[in-house]
Amino acid sequence: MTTISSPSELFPAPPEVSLDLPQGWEPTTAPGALLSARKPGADRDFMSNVLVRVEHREDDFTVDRAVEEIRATAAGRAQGETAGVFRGEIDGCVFDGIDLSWVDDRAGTLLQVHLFHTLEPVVPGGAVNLLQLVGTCGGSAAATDYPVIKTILRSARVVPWKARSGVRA
Amino acid sequence: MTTVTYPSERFPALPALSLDLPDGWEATQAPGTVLAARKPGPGFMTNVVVRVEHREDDFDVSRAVAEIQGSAPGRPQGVASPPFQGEIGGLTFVGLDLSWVDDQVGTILQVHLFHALEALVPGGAVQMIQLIGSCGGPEAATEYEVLQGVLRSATITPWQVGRVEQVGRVEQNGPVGTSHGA
Repeated sequence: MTTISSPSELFPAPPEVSLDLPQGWEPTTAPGALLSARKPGADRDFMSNVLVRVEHREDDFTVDRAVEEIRATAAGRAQGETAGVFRGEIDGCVFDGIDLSWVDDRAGTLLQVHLFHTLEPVVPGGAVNLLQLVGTCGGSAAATDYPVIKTILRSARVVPWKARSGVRA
Repeated sequence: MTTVTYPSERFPALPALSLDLPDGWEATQAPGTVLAARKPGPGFMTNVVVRVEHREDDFDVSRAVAEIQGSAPGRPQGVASPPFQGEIGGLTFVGLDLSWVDDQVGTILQVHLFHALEALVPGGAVQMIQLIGSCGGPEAATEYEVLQGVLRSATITPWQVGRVEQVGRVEQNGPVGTSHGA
């Protein structure tokens, strides 16, 4: 009999992640996200928001594939478009980013920025942790909120999980 | 300015989990899961996965069960069983079986078990733990028993603020969900 466990070298825990929020933003809970926040606004169809996802992927996974998945998403959305891939550093981690926009029936044009970084497996055959930072804005506030969500995402601090000695797969 | 942090009371870290695997099974990686294993072989591989997802503080496992029941009619000959309840690792899980017919594999049988870890603070995230076992093909009936054994072996230790092994660095007073600065 073998026992597998999480967190372990084979199944590493998500990194610790922090985000700085501007005045007026609040934490919220979004399915599938480890961390999320939004700018509340009762009279608006869409609340600008940011979220952080971390997902286990197989050990040959690269950020290129995540970017391709966003492009495929765009193709399935009304007037979906993506911009070219850009690269930047946040808290010492290199992120590949891509912007996605589409038209929503209620909110109008939605603008989304996706930033990806992979945390390499701790052991051969172990999971890659795909870290995804997502910011979304839309409607009449899109133009003013887009730089705000980028600033929030750039404030991310990421501390990879480290297995203690003795924590085994 | 406010800082939000994972993990924290508002956004708790994933629980520590383990599963005992029978001889011949192997660990594997599956997107969207925190733990996964399978029995290697030709055709459909019997497998188990564990998912943990943050949900809003009014979330209830009956909603997760309803989602599975709602997915059955969309599958060929899809059938969901009535929910059942059982204890695993000291926690009460609500489960149901889902089966459908796949063109290549034949009948696929899946067991879903759900438990929700309560929010640590008002408005904080509930953590939905989902254990899934899948088997299919001619040996499904015997494999189903094996799957149930693997899922029943689960141990679950909810995260607590300041727990050392869940976070990359240890802070003297533990991480804080929101802090207000200049």
